[in-house]
Amino acid sequence: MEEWQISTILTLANPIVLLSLMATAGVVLWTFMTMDPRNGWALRLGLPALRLMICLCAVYMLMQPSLIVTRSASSPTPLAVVFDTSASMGFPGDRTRLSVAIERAQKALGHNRHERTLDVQVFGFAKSVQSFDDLKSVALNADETGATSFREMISRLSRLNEDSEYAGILLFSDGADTSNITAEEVRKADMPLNVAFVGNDSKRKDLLIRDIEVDEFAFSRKPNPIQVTLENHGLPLTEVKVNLVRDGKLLQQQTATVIDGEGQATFSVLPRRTGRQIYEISVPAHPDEDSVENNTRFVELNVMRDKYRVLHLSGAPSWDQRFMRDTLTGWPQVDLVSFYLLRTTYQSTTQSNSGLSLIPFPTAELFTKHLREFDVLVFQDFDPATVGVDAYMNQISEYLADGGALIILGGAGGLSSSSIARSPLAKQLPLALPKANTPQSRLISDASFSPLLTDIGKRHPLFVTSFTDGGPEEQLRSLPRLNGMVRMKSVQSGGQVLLSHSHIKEGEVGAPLMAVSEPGRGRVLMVTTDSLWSWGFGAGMTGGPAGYYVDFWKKAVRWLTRSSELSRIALEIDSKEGNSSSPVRLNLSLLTEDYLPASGQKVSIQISWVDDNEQTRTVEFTGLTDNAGMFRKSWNAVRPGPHAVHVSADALSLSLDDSFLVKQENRELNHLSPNPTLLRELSDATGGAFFEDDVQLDDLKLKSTPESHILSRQDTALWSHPLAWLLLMGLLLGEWLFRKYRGIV
Amino acid sequence: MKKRYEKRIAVSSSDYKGENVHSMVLNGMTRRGFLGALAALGVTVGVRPLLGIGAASQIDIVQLIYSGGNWQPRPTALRRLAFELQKRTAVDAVLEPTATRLLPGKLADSPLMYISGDRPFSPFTPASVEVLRRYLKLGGTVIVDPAYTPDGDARGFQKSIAHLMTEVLPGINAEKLAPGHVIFRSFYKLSAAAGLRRGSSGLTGYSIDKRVAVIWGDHDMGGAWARDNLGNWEYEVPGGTRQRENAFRLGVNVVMYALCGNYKDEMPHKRFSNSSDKGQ
Repeated sequence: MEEWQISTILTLANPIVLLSLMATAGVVLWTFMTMDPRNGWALRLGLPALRLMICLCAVYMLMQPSLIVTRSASSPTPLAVVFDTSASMGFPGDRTRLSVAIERAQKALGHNRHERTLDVQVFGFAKSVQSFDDLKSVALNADETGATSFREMISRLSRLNEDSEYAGILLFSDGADTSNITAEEVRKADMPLNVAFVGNDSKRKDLLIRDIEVDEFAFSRKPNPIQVTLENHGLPLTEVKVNLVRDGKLLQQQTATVIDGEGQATFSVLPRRTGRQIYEISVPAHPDEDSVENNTRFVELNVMRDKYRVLHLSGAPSWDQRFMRDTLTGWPQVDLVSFYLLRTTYQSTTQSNSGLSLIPFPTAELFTKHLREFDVLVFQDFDPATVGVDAYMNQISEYLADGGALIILGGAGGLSSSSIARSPLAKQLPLALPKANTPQSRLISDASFSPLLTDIGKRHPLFVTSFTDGGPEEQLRSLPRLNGMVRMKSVQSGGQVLLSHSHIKEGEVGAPLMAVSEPGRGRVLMVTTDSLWSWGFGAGMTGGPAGYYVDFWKKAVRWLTRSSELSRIALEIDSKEGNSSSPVRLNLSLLTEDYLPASGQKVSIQISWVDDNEQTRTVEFTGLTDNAGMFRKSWNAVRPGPHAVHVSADALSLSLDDSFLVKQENRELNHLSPNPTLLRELSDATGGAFFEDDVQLDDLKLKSTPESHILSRQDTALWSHPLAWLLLMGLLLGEWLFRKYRGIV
Repeated sequence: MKKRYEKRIAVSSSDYKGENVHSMVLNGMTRRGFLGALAALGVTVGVRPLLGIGAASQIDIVQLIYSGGNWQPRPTALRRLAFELQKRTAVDAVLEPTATRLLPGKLADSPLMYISGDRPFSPFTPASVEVLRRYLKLGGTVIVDPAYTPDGDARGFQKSIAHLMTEVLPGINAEKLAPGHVIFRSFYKLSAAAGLRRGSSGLTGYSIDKRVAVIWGDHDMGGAWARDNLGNWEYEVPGGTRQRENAFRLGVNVVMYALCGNYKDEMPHKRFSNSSDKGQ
């Protein structure tokens, strides 16, 4: 096809051209006005007309006209034909969704009957986009193992579109997207997305766990629901057993009734400890199933401590008991159960019960059924023998060894209790209790004193303060003096004294006022005075830091319950990427018994998982901590699934158990179900067409694109052409001859 | 050791009604001798287990000394309440309660204060108001007990207290403490407040953070508690022994509330409250 056009270099808006035209008008008008009116009209109009033509010819040549000849050819419309080649397109069985898609594409594009010639470029995509030469090569070369990412597909085609200027996209897909793309993202690509839906599930046979819902936060010792939704395709099932497993042990089993291809089961888990907990949810495989990979899924609960449950037992009402109670009841994170002995044993047995609002101490129920529900047990001037608790000292000892926490506070009622001294609990305490026959003058000192921090006490989490608050010793000096203490026998093995008496000595050192121990997995705090309450009320009345008392007990409860922020061993696991191709980063930090960074300590990290043959495999890393007491390790998981971690530093007798989940890299198998709704939403958002069955090319919605492309272009200057000058000369000659003929010359 | 405020107690046996046999047998003994004899015999106080750490751990109900009124219209009342506390409960009470002015250092050891009077008193200085405010907000409890003496003006005393409270606790209004309140269950089950006079069935309170910090009765509890050194009741109670006993029970409950707060509102107490085996 050849086209020509004449164009000029100067336009009419050019000032020179405008001036020339004005001069032309002037010449023509002057000619007309200066002619003798007696001349005939032929002369009076002919001469100005001739001069007008000469001037216009000259002005036009001034505008430098040229002739442009363009040769062009028609061009096809670029169309991106994109096949979803993800794992879900490989289902079901012999005639897969992908093979159906390719058949439909061949049927529609084979004869290319669109009103415009289409330039078809073929792509396949799952997690990434792949280019194919033609439709046949899609069937031969597609990797049907990836997960569908519409986001990646749209992003890649948008980049290609900058060069190819696609008129649109024709997408063959089942809509089982794993990238959670939105219509707005697709709209930004500025290409009509025509969708051919492929997802006829009539022959599919599959039972799968479609969805697992858990609350955003899970709490220890509280029921946390896990709701499981099942989907059944083509299998003769009315009821399905759903299993909840943790650490290889079946915890619960529920029966889900399958109605209209869908069933639901709800579990309620009651985690006892905080931290990450991984549960496996599975349904049994059916012999006729197309895929069994989607019969098992894992869910990770990050269990937080909802509340600290505290059992507060007091031998008598006292200000120490009262202000500790105020602290615990005023702390929303504490669930307090308290029993205070309001009458002595003597009063209970000799006085009338008439009119009393007192209740019996539910000793058996508390210590046989509910003891382990408590995070912290407080004996405040409490002699267990007074209400029969001495019968349960073995249980309390075991509770401690298994991770419980105990606070024993003076006075003398609890700290000189022979029932404690004779029990297995006595060996777990940091301080040895005085002998039963210790005279009161030797047992008790009721003089006031200022306590002193020991070296360990200065670094211990109970007394460490922020820099802005001053050091622990400075803070302690700002508090009122304490009144009286019970003198303990000695510091036991494993006991650490944090505070001591300022002038009463036990041997070379001050008599212990506050001490801690860590028997087994539990922790104990002993305080040998009952006047700590003056750190709150007394401090406030005398202008000191009234909040110190409450802060102290909050720190104490956190430390006793091994809150991670106050623990000597801490493990951070960074598995945010959550798939087997990204390394899992483990950062271990250690503190010594004196709460200094434990440098040069030999540590071991063991990671265990179950392999494909149901065998437990373990990998172990050992090394030394650096100067900051840190040991860091990155590890590439071998397979997805739950992993248990055991960390130990034997020299410090510290260990920790944790877990992490390596998520399945290809979540596609959980998304086998077609999603025509999403596809229709995306095509509507971009103005594309949606085909549920065969694709009709004439119904494709395409952007207007250039229908031809230029082959050559020739530019010839006319103003310099001899014919143009000849024309001008001819006109000038004509004008002269006209005047000569009319006798004007 | 704490310093105790000591004051000679006027002995009066004029209202003796023969309600307690000890006073007849021991008539003529000094108060110290009388208490010492009881303790030695293990009759009243009983065999107390070793609790606390000596005198430093004892519960002292301090009586407030103020200017311009009569701060101690019932001089023996608190001593008798302390004795009853010691006798009936596990509270280790100071048997000779202290009296003090509003001095922060003095009050730092005693979060329970008793304010009594039978006539209006002088307004507190701003510094004293501030001390009392700090005392209450830090967890202190004040018992207000007007005394209806023949030549006194208990209403005037109560007006002074009301004015004081508007200064000490601005923005906190007095509230009625009906007999359903936990104060009426903190040790004894009580259906109404009682003292030397019957008054209203409930009490009045000022609360801070859900804790009743000021407990204000209108029953002259001190009048019912007062007993001379010879064991004679100082004032006749219109309702007789039962009303006097209820006045003591109310006193015990108020102290228990100051020490245990809403302990008796906890779920285990509601669950076991009908059991016959009593103790806690």
